[in-house]
Amino acid sequence: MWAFLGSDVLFFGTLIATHLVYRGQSVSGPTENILDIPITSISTFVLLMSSLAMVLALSGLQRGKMGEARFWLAATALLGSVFIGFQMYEFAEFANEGLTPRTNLFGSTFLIMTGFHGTHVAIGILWLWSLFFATFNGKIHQGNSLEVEIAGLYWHFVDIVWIVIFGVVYLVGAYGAEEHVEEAGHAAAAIFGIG
Amino acid sequence: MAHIAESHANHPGPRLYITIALILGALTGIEVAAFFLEMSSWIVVWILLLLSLAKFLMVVFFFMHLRMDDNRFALLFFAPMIVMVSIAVALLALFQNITR
Repeated sequence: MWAFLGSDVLFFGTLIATHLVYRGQSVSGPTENILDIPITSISTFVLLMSSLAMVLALSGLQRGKMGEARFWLAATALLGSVFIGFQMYEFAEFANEGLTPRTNLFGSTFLIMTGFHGTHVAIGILWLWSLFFATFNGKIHQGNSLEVEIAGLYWHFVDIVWIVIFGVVYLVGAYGAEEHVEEAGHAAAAIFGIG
Repeated sequence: MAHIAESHANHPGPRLYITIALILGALTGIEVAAFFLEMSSWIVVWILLLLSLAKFLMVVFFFMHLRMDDNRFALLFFAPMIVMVSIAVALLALFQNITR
């Protein structure tokens, strides 16, 4: 799982880097100013709390408390679903305001990046429900809690990817928009001795 | 079974997990508050980046148990991370320079 997560770091890193490189290059349509920070802050908090529910599920299973493990597994999946709901609302709002993947560079890079993240969350939700039901037929028990720990690693990874996207793309992006990204570019260029 | 019990013996308990989650929630609140503060742009950007880094590391080390796990797992995870951050910084430097 750690090897897979390492490869996924490169996958999401590429998407985030592409978004950062093309930020400020869109010549038409909505850009960073369309981002709704208060709503996304709530969805970020929901995803963080789903990570807490995930470790509590694992902790319960490792202590042999099946009821606790089931409760927190279901809570994790439900909180993940709430996050997906927020993302669908956000995408619908963007579409209403004229931002789609075909509108401009911001739309392409932002929606592909967050869309792939949402897909990862959706896969995680299916995985969690499969583990939840497997606790009832004895396939998941205290003795093979590693199954849940591996799913937990995946879930926490999805969480940390969102921590980066929320911090770097939403907050820094919407705060500074083009001006500060350009400053950051010049600072980075100075570090590398370019220009 | 004994091996599994032994390998999980050093995992933190629910109390520490809840404390970490509360800190993560508080850091997110500070991030959003910093976003709306009227401060020097560079200070805010650095605050946001450092808070994101702190949250990232807390989840990786405590929730993903990397603090207690084998160092080879840390290598598998952080090596691509270092490569990716280097590539991102280099691309940002090059493209911002070219488009100027």
